[in-house]
Amino acid sequence: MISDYVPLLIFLVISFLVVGALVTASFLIGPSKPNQRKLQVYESGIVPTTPARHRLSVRFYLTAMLFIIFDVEAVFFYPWAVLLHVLRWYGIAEMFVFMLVLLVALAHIWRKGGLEWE
Amino acid sequence: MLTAIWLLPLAGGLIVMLLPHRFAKWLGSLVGLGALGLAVYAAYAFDPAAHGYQFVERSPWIQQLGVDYFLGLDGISVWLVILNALISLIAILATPVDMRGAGRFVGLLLVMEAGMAGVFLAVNLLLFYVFWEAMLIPAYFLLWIWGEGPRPLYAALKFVLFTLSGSLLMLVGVIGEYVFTGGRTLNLPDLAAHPLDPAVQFGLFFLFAIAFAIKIPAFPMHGWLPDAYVSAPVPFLVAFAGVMGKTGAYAMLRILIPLFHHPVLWWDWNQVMPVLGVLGIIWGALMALAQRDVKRLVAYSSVSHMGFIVLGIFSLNAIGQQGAVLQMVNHGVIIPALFLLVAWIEVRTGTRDRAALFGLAPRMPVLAGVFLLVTLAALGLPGLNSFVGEFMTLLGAWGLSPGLAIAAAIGLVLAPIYMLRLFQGSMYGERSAPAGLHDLRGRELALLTPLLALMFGIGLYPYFLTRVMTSLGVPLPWS
Amino acid sequence: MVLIAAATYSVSYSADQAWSDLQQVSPIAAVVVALLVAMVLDLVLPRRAQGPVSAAITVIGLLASLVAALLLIDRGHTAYYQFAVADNFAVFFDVLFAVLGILAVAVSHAYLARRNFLQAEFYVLLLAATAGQMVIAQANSLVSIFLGLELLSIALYVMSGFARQDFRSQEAAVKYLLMGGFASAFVLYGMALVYGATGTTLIPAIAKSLGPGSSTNALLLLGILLMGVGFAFKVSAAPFQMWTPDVYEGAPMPVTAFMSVGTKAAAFAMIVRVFATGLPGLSGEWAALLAFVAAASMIVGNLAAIAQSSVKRLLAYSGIAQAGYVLVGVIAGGADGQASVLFYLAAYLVMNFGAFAIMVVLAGPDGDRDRIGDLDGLVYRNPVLGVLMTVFMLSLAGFPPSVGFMGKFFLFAAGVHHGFTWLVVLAVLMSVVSVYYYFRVVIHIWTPVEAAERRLRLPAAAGLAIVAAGVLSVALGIVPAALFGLAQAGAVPVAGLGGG
Repeated sequence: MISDYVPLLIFLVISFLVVGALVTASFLIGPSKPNQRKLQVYESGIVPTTPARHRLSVRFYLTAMLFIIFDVEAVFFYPWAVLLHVLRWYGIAEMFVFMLVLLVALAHIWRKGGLEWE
Repeated sequence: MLTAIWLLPLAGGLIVMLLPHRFAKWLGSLVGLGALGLAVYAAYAFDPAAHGYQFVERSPWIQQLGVDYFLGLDGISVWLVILNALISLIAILATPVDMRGAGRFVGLLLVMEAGMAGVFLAVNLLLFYVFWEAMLIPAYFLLWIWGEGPRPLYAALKFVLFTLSGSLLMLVGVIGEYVFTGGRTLNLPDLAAHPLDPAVQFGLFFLFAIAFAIKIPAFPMHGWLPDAYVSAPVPFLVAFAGVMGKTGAYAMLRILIPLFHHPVLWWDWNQVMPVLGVLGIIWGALMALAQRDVKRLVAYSSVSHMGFIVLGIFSLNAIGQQGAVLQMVNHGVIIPALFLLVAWIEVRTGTRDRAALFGLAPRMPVLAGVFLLVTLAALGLPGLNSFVGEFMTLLGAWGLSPGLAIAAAIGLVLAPIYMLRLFQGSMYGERSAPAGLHDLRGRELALLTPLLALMFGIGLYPYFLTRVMTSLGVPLPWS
Repeated sequence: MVLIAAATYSVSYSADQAWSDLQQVSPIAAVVVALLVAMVLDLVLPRRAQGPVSAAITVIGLLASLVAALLLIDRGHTAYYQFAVADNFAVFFDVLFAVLGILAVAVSHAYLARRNFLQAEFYVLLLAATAGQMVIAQANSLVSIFLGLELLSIALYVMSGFARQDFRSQEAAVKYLLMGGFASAFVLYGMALVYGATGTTLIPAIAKSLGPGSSTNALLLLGILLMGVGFAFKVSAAPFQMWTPDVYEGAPMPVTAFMSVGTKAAAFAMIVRVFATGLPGLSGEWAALLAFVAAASMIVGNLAAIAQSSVKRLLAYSGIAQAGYVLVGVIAGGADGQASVLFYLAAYLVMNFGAFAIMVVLAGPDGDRDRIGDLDGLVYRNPVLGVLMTVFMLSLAGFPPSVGFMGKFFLFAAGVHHGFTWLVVLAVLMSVVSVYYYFRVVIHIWTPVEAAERRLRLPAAAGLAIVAAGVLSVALGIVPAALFGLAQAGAVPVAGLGGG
């Protein structure tokens, strides 16, 4: 059984080798002329004025999470679409049930103020 | 009918607990009397010529495992059932009416009576175990909530943990017996018909014997006893010392002996147990000699007497085992009387210290007379009940090993020393006790009357008890 | 190779098939429908009506689920391409979870109002957790098991943080989330490895794929180990029990009551399903692992419980110990071992939930009163509660004639029967220790107090649930045959398990 995974191992080794080789090559071949401006955190752009670590409002996370949840649900549409010719009306019905559940969830979030910023 | 013998006190006890306190004692006594009536009727209707269990009640309980609800009565259990009913009734009657929470106290006494009756009646090992454990719960509450002395909680918890560690090991034993006999039944007669491999018997014997030895308590498992007996309230102690210890001895006779004929692996349990019995006799007597607290003294004398019972059971012959059963009844009659007397003396004088008691007889002649009678019964005077039992036990022990019988007789010699010293020291002396001590009241005397009558009755005509002891539900080695 | 095989799987799915499959999962479906209805009603109803209506919807849904489950007895089969199954084992647990849910609603209703919690959300989460438990019970594939596990866990994470003003509740939620996440990761990783080794996630197919060489298959053994660790987390067995006392202590009392029974039962359903049904050929391997976990749980749980001064923590540790006892039955295996596990879980439902339910009633508007001293004189403040709490403690301690004793008897009988006598002896010795701390609770209940006149009001629904649990705790101990018969019917027929 384990022998089935040998290709995976080979793939892993090759990818490490390629990445390693690229980094090494650019380090060796590439020209290196450092000056103060280049060594700054942001090579382009303005000099940071405040510390980068500061607290973000929890609403960002909430919004991001909601986006991800509904985004991931959308993934289910793909296998469903592929097999729709087999599932037929049952598949259609079931997808509507699924979307109904999502809709209830969305309504719940909306009504409970999850989409409002303030 | 047998179901009624345990169900009546249980139901009665639960009802008594719910009723107002002033009805408690009356209703409780009525229920106790009813249970006694049932038990006596069972003895009356008992056929001594028949074999096997009588009044059998049997119905499937856990069909899947072949476990039956199986009650039966035979020539041994019948006397213990009566003893239980009688002593429990006396315990209820001895309860002071003005006791805190008297209703619950009486109710719990009845529940405990129900549990003990179940132990004596059960023919199925699991049923036996259920009753065996169930009687622990009321005993715990009685010992804790109404306990005397500085540490009733400690004594109660010690008692429960001691007995529980034994009985849970017994649960493993019950399961082991069930599995090794093929997992079809737990009815004692069927189990007795399938003797196991000696090595298996050896292990199972150990698991069961620990539980029984703790409950009796037999040497060296008696560690909980002094604390518990000293802090126990007297009415409870009457039933506790009078009957509950007997459940352990009874179980030894009904379970260890028939189920494990030959428990031999590293040693032979059947030879170890009588030695432990003799050690208990001597150890209990010596400890009794050393006590100043009278309640403790009686408690240790109880250890000594229970040693005789263990010795008799493991003499493995008819006379020894019948003597042991007789002695269970005798001890169950004497010890409650002793504890009641000690309690009444304590109420009057305010002390249990042997050294502080003197010259009571001139102030309380009736009490002194009764005390003398009970003392003589306890040390085995011929003509009184204990003599017959101890004599039969020793005869049985002689049949097993003369050396053991002689060693046990040392206990017989020590008993008069501590008992008579107690009697003389407290009742007589150079000075009389201070005046104003009330003699035994009529009610108290009435309470003792049945016990005194039994002391004479059994002493003069023990055959009344032993004649039915050949009608056995599960065969013993000599039947 | 396997992936390609799956892709060429020819699929045809008729309406009849769909209807039949839906019937098989109807207990779950009922709960989910109730969940959606409750959610919608929560949006449209005025705030005052939300609590009672949601509670009613929840109870109706759970009752429907109960009926649906009962109708499936002896009629179940696999559904959804074997991903779900409604055998009697699953049905037994469905019934258990439905009853648990109903009891939880009864107990929580007054509590939520008293503490001024959001009510509708609570019931929705309760339904979600119940649905998750039922999915686990009816799962027949590693994938569906994991699905149920997450559904259950996520709902419980939120529920344990339900007392939003309470710092300890928040801590409990975070702790439970992190620990539960770890556990899920372990389970998932283990499942992945087992899938890698056997090429399937369907549990019966895994059982078939095992061969003589399986016991040396490193991938498979590592998978079993990881799954075992994850499951041990979920049943809160030692040495993976650390989260239990803290989470139980912090979570609001009804949540603790619900999850102490629900999570444990669901996790045991998983363990039996995956290990006993899916990996019967490797019972020696996982039995050794679980025997260690069982022994550790019994020792750690019982010894740690002695020192607790919070009833929640005490019951948490007692729950750890109880998990150890139940594992004895799992390890013993065979029809009798599994039947004893099912019996004990049902017994655990009534006695443990009953004990927690009484603590729920004790709670005040400001928070839970779970110091052991808060029980002082309970029997004088409310005789019914006092006596019933005593019954629950005695039952947990395993005194006859309670259901706890019978449960232990069946477990230990199975253990001895299959040759795990040493484990049974350990369990018995640890039971003696457990008596000490259960009796500590009893002592507090019966200790007279000065403030005995402060009588305790008992909400009707909660009172009914507690009394029902108390009556069952005794009645099922006196007449265990009927429940044991159901447990036997529910045991998955797997022959030749264990050492016996």
